[in-house]
Formats: sequence, structure tokens, C-alpha cells
Amino acid sequence: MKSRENREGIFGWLKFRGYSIEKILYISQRVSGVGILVFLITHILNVGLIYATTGILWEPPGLIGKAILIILGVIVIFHSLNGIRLTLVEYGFLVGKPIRAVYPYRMTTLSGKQRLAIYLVTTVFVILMYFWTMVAFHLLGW
Amino acid sequence: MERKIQFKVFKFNPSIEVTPTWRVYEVEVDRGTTVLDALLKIKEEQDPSLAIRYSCRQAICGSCGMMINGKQRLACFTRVLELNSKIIYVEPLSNYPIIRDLVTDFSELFSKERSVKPYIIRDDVEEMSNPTGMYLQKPDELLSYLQFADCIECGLCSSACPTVSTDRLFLSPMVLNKAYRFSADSRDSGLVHRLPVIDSEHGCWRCHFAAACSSVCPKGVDPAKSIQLLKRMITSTNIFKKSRKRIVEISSRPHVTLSFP
Ligand code: SF4
Ligand code: SF4
Ligand code: FES
Repeated sequence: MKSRENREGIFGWLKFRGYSIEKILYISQRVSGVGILVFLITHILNVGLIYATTGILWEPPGLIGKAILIILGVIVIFHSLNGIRLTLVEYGFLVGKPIRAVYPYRMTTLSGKQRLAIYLVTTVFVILMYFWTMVAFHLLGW
Repeated sequence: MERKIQFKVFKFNPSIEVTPTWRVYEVEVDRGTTVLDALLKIKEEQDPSLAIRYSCRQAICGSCGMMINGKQRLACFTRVLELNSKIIYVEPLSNYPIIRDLVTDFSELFSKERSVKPYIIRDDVEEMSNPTGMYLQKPDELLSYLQFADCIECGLCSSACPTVSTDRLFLSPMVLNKAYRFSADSRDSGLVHRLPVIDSEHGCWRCHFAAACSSVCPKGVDPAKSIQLLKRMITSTNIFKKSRKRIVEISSRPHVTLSFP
């Protein structure tokens, strides 16, 4: 329900219909970032608690542990690759030079080198996923 | 060829109502009818109480921004049939306070804009107030900010930006674009005066390149580009201590007589 203030709040982050693919990547970057942070915190607490109570520092992960590791790998690989693109973009690379705004308008941030970087990130992600699947099978002992 | 299209329009008067309502209107439209035309038709023929803000009807004044089928658009620059839908939802721009119905309050945005000093700042103050010549620019110097100067201040970008939706104090794309437009101008040396505002907690570093701003801009301004270029400008002056571009000097042209009232 809208109020006078009409601010979208966190839903504004998640809206993507009508916007470009960059917005979807923005959402994925945020969600994966939060995912990694949540993992780190729970992991440190978990290991710390076990170590404090039993004195065991490391044990081979069980099935759930392995599943978490595999998903974490996917998330970290995506977050790092997309992060490289974003770092470059945010320092003014890949966005193109200022052009004359002549109708029909062309946004160089939504095309050109920046888009190529997205395709490159996607390709490298798919390739790394291939290797990661093999690692995952190995981990699971299949 | 005329077609009947249903409009679901957001109605809300916060000063007397607690909750908004949606009203349904049917309008005959043809190929050239814009959403603004249709709303004005509704206002004339069906509901005189409908509040809309507009002025130029040709995407120049920037006052008719609204959410049309969930996306930020100019009502006068959007033809009804191009939306390709039988029902058209019209709402006020999100992330601005609602004054009434489709009219939103831009005063916060404009005060943020003033805070970045959107004008040419130079050290030769005397020359600025009593000009004796003109500042000449080369074509490439002009091109370095021309695209960003096309902004009509419609505020669509600042409504679409996800950072704005959670950070009320974020300067927002329209304002950051304005800051870059002047800082990149070869006649200007005001970046250092703008830095306290743009290089701050709610300044340009809050932009995370969702590019939603560029995907809604109706004038081809590409604010996501100017913001990243602004970050680059700040990084290279603050961290790498690169000296700023050459500032154009005054050139008195004898054949031009300047007369200012
Ligand atoms: S590119 Fe930056 S300013 Fe533009 S919508 Fe995204 S976060 Fe906002
Ligand atoms: S940059 Fe584009 S969308 Fe933003 S206020 Fe200017 S014209 Fe409107
Ligand atoms: S009425 Fe001026 S921009 Fe739409």
C-alpha cells in the first residue's frame, strides 16, 4: 500500500521488469554478496563454537557441508567475475566516451564495451562452472 | 483507427485521504495519442478532479514523469499503443512524496541539486561578473559534457535508481549527472567546491551501477555514464593527484562587442 512518502524501500532493489540486464546483475551481485557474508559469519561462529566446546578444529565435511561448499563456490565465482566488471566500470572504463545525444538515443553504458564485458563474464562463468561441476562430483565421490 | 483502452489511474489526496484508490477509465485512442493526451481527455470528459502536472507536451519541460505500466516514463513522450497492452496502469513516480494523484514533490531533489553548485565556478570572479571577452571551447571540449547538458530534469532517473529507494539522502543520478556536467566543462574549475557534497557518504560512491537511470532516461543523457566518469575524475584528482584539465582562459575578441545591461 502506497503512503504519501511513496518510497520503494528494499523492493526498489529487486525490481527488474522494464529495466536492463545490468539491473538483474546488480540484484544478483547484492544477493550473492549477502550470501557470502552470511556464510562467513555462520561459518566462523560454527567452527569457533565447535572448537571451543570439543577442541576439534577440522573435520571432513559431511553431505550438507559439501552441498554448502559447492553452492558457495558457484556464488563466489559469480560474485568475483561480476565484481571485476563492476570495478572496471565504476572507475570509468568500459562506459564509453560522451557522445552527442541524437535521437534515436543510444546509451553507451547499455551497449558497446560494457555489454561485451557482460558477455565475457557470462562465458567465463559458464566455463568455470564446467570445471566446478567436476570438482563437485569429485567432492561428492560420484 | 480508434481503439478503446482501459486506464487504471492512481488517485490519492494525502491531505484528506488515508489510503489511495485506483479508478478505471475508458478512453478512445489512436496511433498518435500519448498517455498525456489520454489523461487530459479523462480530465476533460470523465473526471475533472484528476491531478496531473505537465507543460510543454513535447519532452522538453520534464514535468510529466510518471510510472506507466510500472516503468518511469514521460507521459507526453509515450504513445498509448506503443505500450501494447489493453490495460494501462498510471501511477505517480516512485520515491518522491505524493502531492496529489499523479503529482509528486521534487523540492528535495532540487535542493540536492543546488547543493552541488550547478553552475560554472571560476577563480577570475571579476571577469565572471564584468565580462570583457569570452571563453572559447574546442569541439572536443564541448563534446565532453554536451550529452550530459541535455538533461531536462524530469527526475525519472532518480525515481528508478535502487539506491534512492533505500537512501533518502543519496544525491541521486540527476544531481550527480549535473555535478559532472559542470565539473567536466573546460571553463569550470569548481570540482573542489563540489567535492564535500559529491565525495561524501551519500555522494557518488553510493552508485553501484544498476544502470536503471540510463535505461529510463528519455533524453539520451546516460547518467550512469556521467556518474562513473565523475568517480574517475575524483579518483584521479584525489588519489593519483593528476592535475585537472587545462581551464580555458578568457579570449577577448575585438570584433565582438559585448553589451550587458
Ligand atoms: S547507475 Fe548508479 S545512479 Fe544510476 S540507477 Fe544505478 S545505482 Fe542509481
Ligand atoms: S538524466 Fe535523463 S532521466 Fe534524469 S532527469 Fe535528466 S533527462 Fe530526466
Ligand atoms: S509535458 Fe513537458 S516533458 Fe512532458
